[in-house]
Amino acid sequence: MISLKDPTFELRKKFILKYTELVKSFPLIDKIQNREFAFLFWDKDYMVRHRGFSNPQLFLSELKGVAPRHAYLSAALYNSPADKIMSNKGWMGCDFVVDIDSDHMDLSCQKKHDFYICVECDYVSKENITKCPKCEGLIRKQLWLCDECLQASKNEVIKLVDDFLPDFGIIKDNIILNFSGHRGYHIHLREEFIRAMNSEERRQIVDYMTATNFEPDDFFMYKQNIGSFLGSTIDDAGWKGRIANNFLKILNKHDSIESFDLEFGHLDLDAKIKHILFGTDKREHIRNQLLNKNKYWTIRDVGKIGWEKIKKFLLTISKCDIDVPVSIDTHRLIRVQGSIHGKTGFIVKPLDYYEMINFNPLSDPIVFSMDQKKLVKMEITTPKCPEIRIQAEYYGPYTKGEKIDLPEAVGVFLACKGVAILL
Amino acid sequence: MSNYNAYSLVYKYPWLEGGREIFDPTSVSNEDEDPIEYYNQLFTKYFESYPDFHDKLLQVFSLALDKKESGIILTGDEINVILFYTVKTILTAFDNRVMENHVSNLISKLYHQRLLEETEQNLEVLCRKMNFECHFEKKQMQIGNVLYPCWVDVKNYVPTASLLKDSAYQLINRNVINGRVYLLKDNVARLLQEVVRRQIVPDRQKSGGELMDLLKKITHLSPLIDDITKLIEKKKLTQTQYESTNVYENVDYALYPPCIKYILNKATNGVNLTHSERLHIAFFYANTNHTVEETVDVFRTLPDFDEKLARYHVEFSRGIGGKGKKYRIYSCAKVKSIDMCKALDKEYGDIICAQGVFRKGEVRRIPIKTPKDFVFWKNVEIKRKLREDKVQKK
Repeated sequence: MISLKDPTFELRKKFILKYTELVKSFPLIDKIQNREFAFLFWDKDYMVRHRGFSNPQLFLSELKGVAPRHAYLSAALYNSPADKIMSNKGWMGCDFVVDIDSDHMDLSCQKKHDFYICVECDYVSKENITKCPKCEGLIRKQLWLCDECLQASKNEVIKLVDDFLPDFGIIKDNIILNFSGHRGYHIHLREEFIRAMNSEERRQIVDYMTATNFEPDDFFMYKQNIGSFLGSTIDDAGWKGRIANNFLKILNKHDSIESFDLEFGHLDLDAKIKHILFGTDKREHIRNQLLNKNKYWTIRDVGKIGWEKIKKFLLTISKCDIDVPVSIDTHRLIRVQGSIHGKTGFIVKPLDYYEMINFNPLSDPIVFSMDQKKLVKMEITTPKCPEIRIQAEYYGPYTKGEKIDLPEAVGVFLACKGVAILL
Repeated sequence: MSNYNAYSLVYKYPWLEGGREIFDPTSVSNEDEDPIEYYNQLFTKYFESYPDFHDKLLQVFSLALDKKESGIILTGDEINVILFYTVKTILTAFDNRVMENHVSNLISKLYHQRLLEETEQNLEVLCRKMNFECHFEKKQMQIGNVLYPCWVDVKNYVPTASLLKDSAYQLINRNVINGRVYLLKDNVARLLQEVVRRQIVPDRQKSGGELMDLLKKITHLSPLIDDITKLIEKKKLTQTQYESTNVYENVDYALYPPCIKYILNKATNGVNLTHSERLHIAFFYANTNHTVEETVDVFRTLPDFDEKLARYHVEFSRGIGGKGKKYRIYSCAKVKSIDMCKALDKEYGDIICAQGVFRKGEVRRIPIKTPKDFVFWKNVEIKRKLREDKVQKK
């Protein structure tokens, strides 16, 4: 039973109504009878796991009935998904899931919109603190989202699909993709050979994507005796070719430090190196070396330390920022496609790759009403409520105690984020 | 076309389909049959047909326990198959993982040599039979200045390569194009070697104890079991016992930091080490007055041990050859950064690593900075305990 005083009471009511609509056209779930399901409810702080459904109707009826805050299913397939003992479930294989979330990335916008707030005294900090310095109270992380971080997630998906998956022989038409409902995307790979991989084997794929254990023994090192960096050529295979091609792309694209900074300013590349590469005629010189497929890269005034910095930068921009444990885990629970994300009220939207390119994550996954005639009354409960764009309109920033009328979708978003309550 | 037929192939590579049937043609087929009687007959036949069978088997175990890499000549006939499965059966009965790793390393290295001598066509057939679909092409693929004769699908490559810890075989360090991993013939032989090694390691689900009881009742095997048991005992007795005088001179195992103990345990059990683990051991041994021989011996049990290469790297780490640079021991910060710190490990962890030490005049523990600090402070701790014990006894 939920209490009427529960601040999530109104929110839950909205989820129940919305799920009643959504189940009518719910996306198909692959091998539903072999998946474990799990729910996080509004009035419980633990996950209810080990649920199994033999057909979609049973699942949808449950979903509509309980309208959970979060709904998950297993990436793994089991013979007996509802068995409470993991070893008895009978593991049959597991989708390879890549979770790309801006939360794992180092972005300049996070400094603007993410806060750490004391639940006792409302002390607000931009620094990642675990205890309130004023009252030693508990700290609540308030992570926000904006166009910049959502675009960063999308860029990583594009990089993964275009640059990495072809290396594994996987074509973009075969991937299952969805917006996570919050700050990123999930990519499900369901090829039989990938499903059969154990964690150790998955780690090889993940290492490849994240440039982990990249230990080339015959290149990517400064040769003191000839004063050159032994790089690679644009015709090379695998990571060697990727690095040379990315270096060339950047040199082609940016002919000034300002232009470079617009794209990569948040990355910590040494000012002197930036000046040499993008502010002098040495850019043309190194560009020619790459175009001429010269594997020895030489730039006057750049020695061992300088090349180490360039190497680090090239690796950073070439690798994919993914949530590693998600991909390695062979029993992972992942958000159900078509469900509502309990931290935003957005739908976990299935997309194909081409839809994703033009997908607007602050408009397209909105399922609650934006009707200006059906506004909901809200009260802000947190000292910091940053601005948010929903569809074409910007809402906020708001301050604590403010009472406002907002479209239902915006109200649900703020309530799900825990910064306001529906009155 | 390959010049192989399935018949000759299985005699050279006994783990292939049909090999077990050559060794044990009928197996114990019904419950009424007495297994002791059955295996007595089977082994009597083998020991009588091949008079040096006992010696050859004992030689395998003796060389393996001596961490040798060669000394056995593999044949391509029935005895090769029988030898393979008898060794595997004995390993199952002993249920001794250290011995398993020594023996499987020796045998897989012998087969590695045989694989290197095979033609590309034969290797391709063998790969297929070992479920490692490898394609040798007439037109080799040129990548950089290197011509690659063959390729393997990523889906076939990853499961096999993940058995190896050598970073050179990790997917990220290979030439990968459109779902294909391009390889040299040597690379294929090395990957197959690891598959062979796993073929020798016994099935853990079988009970070693029951099998040992059975083997001891087999007329011809019983003396062999006794001889191998003696070999194991002898090895235990001859293990080097270090006497420490100077704290850093021939450091005793008790003074080794958790990260080193952990790696040594892996090596002793014949588990492949990562590149960083190898370096950590080499640098630690070089800085704690261990000899080159002692350091090379650590790596001897590894599946991919190559004495020449190991010796070169160990000497290089000590400034012998190359630019003459002697490498320092990894700092604790570096060890942590590469995820090798075992300070909090249940089995190996130690408070000195986890919380630091009380230095003179300090009221709280100060973290140590290098594994060498651990050796010093562990020595202090042991000496203090010895003094306290003496006082208590008095």
